[in-house]
Amino acid sequence: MLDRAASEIAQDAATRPVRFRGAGFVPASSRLGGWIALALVIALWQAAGSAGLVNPLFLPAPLAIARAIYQLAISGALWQHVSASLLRIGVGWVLGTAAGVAVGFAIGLSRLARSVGITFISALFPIPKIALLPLLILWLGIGEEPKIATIALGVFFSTAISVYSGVDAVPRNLIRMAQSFNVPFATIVRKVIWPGALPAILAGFRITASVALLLVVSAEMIGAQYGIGAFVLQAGNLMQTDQLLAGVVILSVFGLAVGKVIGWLEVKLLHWR
Amino acid sequence: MDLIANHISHRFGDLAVLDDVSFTVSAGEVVAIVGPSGCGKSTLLSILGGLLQPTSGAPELRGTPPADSLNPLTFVFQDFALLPWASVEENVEFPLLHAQLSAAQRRALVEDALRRTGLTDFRNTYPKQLSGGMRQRVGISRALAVRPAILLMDEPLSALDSQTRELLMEDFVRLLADGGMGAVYVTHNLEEAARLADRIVVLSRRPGRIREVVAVSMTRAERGDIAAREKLLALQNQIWSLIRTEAIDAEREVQHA
Amino acid sequence: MIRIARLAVAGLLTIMAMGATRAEDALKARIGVLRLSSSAPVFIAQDKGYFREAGLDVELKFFDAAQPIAVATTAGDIDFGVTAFTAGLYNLAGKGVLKVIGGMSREKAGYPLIGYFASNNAYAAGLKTPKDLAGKRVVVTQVGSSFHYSLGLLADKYGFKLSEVKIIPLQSLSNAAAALKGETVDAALLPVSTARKLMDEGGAKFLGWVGDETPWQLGAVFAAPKTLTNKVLVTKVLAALAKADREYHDVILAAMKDGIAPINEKTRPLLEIIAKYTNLPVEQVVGNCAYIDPDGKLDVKNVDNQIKWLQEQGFADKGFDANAIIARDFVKAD
Repeated sequence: MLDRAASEIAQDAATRPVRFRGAGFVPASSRLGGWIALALVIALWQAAGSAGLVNPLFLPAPLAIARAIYQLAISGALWQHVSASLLRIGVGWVLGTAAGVAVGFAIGLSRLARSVGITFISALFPIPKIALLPLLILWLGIGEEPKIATIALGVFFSTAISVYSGVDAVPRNLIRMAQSFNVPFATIVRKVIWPGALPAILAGFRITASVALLLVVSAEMIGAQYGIGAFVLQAGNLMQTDQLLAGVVILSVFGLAVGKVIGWLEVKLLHWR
Repeated sequence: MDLIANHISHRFGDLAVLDDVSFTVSAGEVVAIVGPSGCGKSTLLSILGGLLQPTSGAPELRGTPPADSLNPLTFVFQDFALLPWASVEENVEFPLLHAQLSAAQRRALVEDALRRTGLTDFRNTYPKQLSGGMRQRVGISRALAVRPAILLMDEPLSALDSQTRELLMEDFVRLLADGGMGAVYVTHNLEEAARLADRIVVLSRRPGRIREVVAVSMTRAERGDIAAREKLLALQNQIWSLIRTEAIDAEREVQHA
Repeated sequence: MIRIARLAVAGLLTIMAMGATRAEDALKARIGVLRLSSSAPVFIAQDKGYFREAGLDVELKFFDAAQPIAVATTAGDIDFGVTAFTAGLYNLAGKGVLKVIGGMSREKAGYPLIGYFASNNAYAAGLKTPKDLAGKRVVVTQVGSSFHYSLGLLADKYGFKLSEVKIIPLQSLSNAAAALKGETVDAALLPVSTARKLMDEGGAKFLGWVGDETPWQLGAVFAAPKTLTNKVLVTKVLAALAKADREYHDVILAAMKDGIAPINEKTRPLLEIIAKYTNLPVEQVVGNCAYIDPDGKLDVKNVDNQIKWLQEQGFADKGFDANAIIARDFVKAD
């Protein structure tokens, strides 16, 4: 019953195509490309080292670094260093994170905690933890406690800040919705605020994991015999630059591994995004 | 159960938003609230549902809600307010989690609510995978699950395109018919008001006062008919003439702000 | 355009001419030092114009740790370095990028520099002399540092094994002082400047001076091999320093009693120069005067011993000795 409109192309005049002008501005990242670039840089670096273009003292070649790591591994010291550091990082991170999440939630949910907490965090967060080392030694001695405390302190502040901004960022309409169904406070915190703040919390974990890795070097300034940080410090003191970079490479492998774990957690827990 | 607005006034700081608004929503009745932008329609609904404390006056209830009602006053939100990390089924189940129900009872309520909104096949989908219309169906399904006596609907269709709106309006007519529920339906869309309401409360520009309460004589079933269209248009025009000048003023004010 | 080009050329020529005349006027040298009295001759030579008299235009660059001076010398940021031997310095020298050209401060009996200090508890429990350090927990700043080596010498002297001592590196003097005060370690090796404050507060007990127990060559003057090609420059710098060494020795060191230099009209001018460069009041400088050989001699035998010790401990690369890192043309051996 409906009238059909003409749809065929008119043949009476020459046509020309409309020029496509929407190209570019969509960088697609290629996984392989990154690895190739990395391999190229390492190869170039090695070539420059082997050709004697670079003083090995200032920039040891990749092979020298690999050799240093290998020697460390076969002597068994690598595992001692890595396990000592992992223990400090792990315990320090867990303690700092637990305290940070608790304080972050308190600040996000309570007016009293907010006014007190934000003032304290703003005042204490910017203090470089290294400046506190002598105090930490006085309070906690030179055992594992001050090392763990150094890491935990660094992790705590970043976590508290990212958690409370995460809690603040939970859409108010979801909380109102829950209230309109008479959902009790504890359930709102557990079922609405916690998952709502989780993206910000996990993003915070990314940062605090790096902070923990950064601080392990400071922490192991405190009389550590083993640990990647202690190893890096000693290599620096002795001007053994190949060992120094070996330690740095191990630390960055830690960093990559932690990044992968958090990436996996995000995929697991935040699939709904 | 009746819902009564008892001389409700509200101010946000210096800004008077509502001025002495009183009306009653009787059991099973659908009352639409219309008015120019910024007349305090949504504020009024929040006050009626107990989400906002009025400056003076009070929302009141009279009589007892049906025995099976878990949440007599239940909102349907403009922005749906779905938990993005929860599936359709989990969203519908959310308001039942803290209720004193056996697992089987809870299952039955969720199943019934999903079925009535046609969401049974989408139970495992997540909100971001759904269109706007389907998301609001989840919002409605969640509201139905708690067996409300009165639905408080805050512009439930205004975030949707016109075709989806048409389809959902048909759903509303059906649900209101077989649920025996009352509703307060806040909208700026006069067609929705004319299609769904038993009575239409017309608010004035800020501060919102009641200008007129218009009764709609036809049954909701009759109004879906083509023959009724002319009558409904006349009704819309009548209300439009009440708010047109003020709507223009409100529009200007918004632009100046 | 042509005029501008001409102007530019003229300007360039002027600048080049100026550069040429300046090079004739004075030899330029940058010397890296710490603000410590163990570099006193450098301050004296600069302040009293001994460098200038020798036709040198010397600029002092101040550092806050020994290691960076060695690194900066290698990198060519400074021409000469004056500071203590460290494992890092030896490792650089072992790779041939640094040469030792003269002696500087020494640990010597009667001249307090580094000391052994006990925590109050450890002292009460019987740690009264340096030889009791065997088996104790001892803080040093860094492994392979002067402090660590001093402890090694002590172990050799009293015939205990260094491995019996639990060495705790705390990276900085303030950390070390805190550990001692907080009773978390038994003892520490500290420089007199840090220790004096700690003892005044009653935070530690004095056990002895390294100089009294095991004298050794603490500091040196060194330069990059490239600088050594300019023989005239090196000779002039060392001669000016030797003049200052002699004056410092004869005026201050010779007058010292009980580790403290007297303040009188003879010593005051030099003490004030040292005070100026070390940012310390004269009263503190007097108890803080490192021994320096009056002829700028270097204890080559001890340097060789240091290298061997570091190599045994695994802190220095193997395969070089004192001869490999000393510039024979310039060094006056003991």
